[in-house]
Amino acid sequence: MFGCHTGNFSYAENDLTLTIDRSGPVPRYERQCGSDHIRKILALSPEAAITISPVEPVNLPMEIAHHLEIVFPRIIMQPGESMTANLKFPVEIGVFLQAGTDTSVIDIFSLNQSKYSLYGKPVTGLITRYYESDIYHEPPGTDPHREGVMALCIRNRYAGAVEVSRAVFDCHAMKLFYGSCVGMNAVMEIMSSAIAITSFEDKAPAGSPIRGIDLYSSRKLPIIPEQGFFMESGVV
Amino acid sequence: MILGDIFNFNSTISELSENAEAVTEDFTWGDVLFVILLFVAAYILGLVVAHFMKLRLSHKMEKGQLELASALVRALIIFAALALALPGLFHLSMAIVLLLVIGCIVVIAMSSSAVVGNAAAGVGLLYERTFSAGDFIQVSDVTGTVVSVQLLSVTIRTPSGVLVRIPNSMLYNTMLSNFHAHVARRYTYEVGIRYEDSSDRAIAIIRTIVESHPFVLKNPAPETFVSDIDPSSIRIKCRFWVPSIWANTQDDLSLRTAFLPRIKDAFEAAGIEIPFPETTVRLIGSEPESADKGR
Repeated sequence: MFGCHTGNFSYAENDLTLTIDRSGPVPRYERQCGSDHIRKILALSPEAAITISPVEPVNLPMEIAHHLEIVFPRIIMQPGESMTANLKFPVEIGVFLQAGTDTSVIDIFSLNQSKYSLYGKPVTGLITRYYESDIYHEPPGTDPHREGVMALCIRNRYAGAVEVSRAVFDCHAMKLFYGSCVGMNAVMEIMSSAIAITSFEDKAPAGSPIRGIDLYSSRKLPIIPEQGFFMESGVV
Repeated sequence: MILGDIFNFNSTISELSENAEAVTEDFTWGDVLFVILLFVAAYILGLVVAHFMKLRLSHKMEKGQLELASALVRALIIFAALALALPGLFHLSMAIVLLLVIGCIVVIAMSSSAVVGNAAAGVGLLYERTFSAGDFIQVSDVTGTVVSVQLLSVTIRTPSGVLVRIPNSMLYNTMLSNFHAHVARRYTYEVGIRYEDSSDRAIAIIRTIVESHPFVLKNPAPETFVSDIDPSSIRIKCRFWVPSIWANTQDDLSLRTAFLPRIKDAFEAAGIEIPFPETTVRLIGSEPESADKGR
């Protein structure tokens, strides 16, 4: 389903039906996802393309969080050690209208149930999109319309052993790729037993060669690129 | 020297009468044009300063507070310009100007103490930063989203769509709750079940419903427990946290309808009943008709 579509397009699986019909007198976009149904009339130029791409998973059912929190089984890391953990993360799907250099959002939907959490304290913490994942040594097989695979490189820069079981990411800086699966590369630098810095690498994982559309860029939001997200409310 | 002039009322009154004559003689349209130009310059300077404040302070102050502060600064600049221009126009000494200013302040304070009080409270609110535009607050029995914070009043839009203007002095002197100050809020619901129903089963049902809701936070985890045993029911309390930004878009009624009907339906499906209060009255000397099921 992912990719650039210049003609008619139709996709159907269990809970999802998506149609882009440009043949009739009134081009239309129609999508049914569970009980959620949307239908839009498209006024398109012939060269306009519609791209379906995975997007940052923080938009549904309501845009209240900008951070993704993945909780995984505890890892105890020795000082100076590093390891790569493959984690699953939820996928949201964006449908974009591309004309020249301009990209506009037509629709965003998801086959996943959202869950939120609080990272930190109610006074100083932040609301995160919550997701639980096992740790996989090899990239696991996933349904790319529901889950992606994050290759998270965890490095312990602290002088002591550290337990880590959660990673929080700023989705403004997320760099998603797609192909046969949805994937991304991320890094988690552990600075102390309670502090870590997470960031994304602009590098395509195996099996996901195509760069996804950044939703925040397409919405033309003035995002200041940061070096990474500072996890200061704990890594467990 | 100036203080001496101020307290020398005979000389100031005679000076005023002399000035009145001088003004009628020396008053020119050029002076009026000068005052107008000074006023316009002060207005433009106020706009420039407000723009500069917006650029430099927008990341440090909330929008409403910044608007209030820039309005104050602009008013001060215009006041200063008038204070500079008018003495020259009417040929008044600084002593006379001070007397006039003090007189104006006294008259304004006496005639409109409420306005002055509201303005002072507005400055106090600006300093305290208890809330800002966009926050969901409760003042007395008014609850709603803050639309604007002005020098004299704050405007609130209630969930039912009513616009309410609250004077700043009232806000300053009453208890105020800001539901938007922290990122998460805790809600508590309580239901009762019969004595013969299993409280463990009821707790499991409530927990399942609450945890399946997307906006009930995973952490801090929801808590469900038997909170009380009253004469007619076992009370079960459920506490959970939701994001403030979501809760503020709902009113209390819609939050309740998100959970309580589902809990009631699930209880009914599981054969658990929510009892109504009942009292058994026995007359002295009469025999009880049947066992009271352990109550």
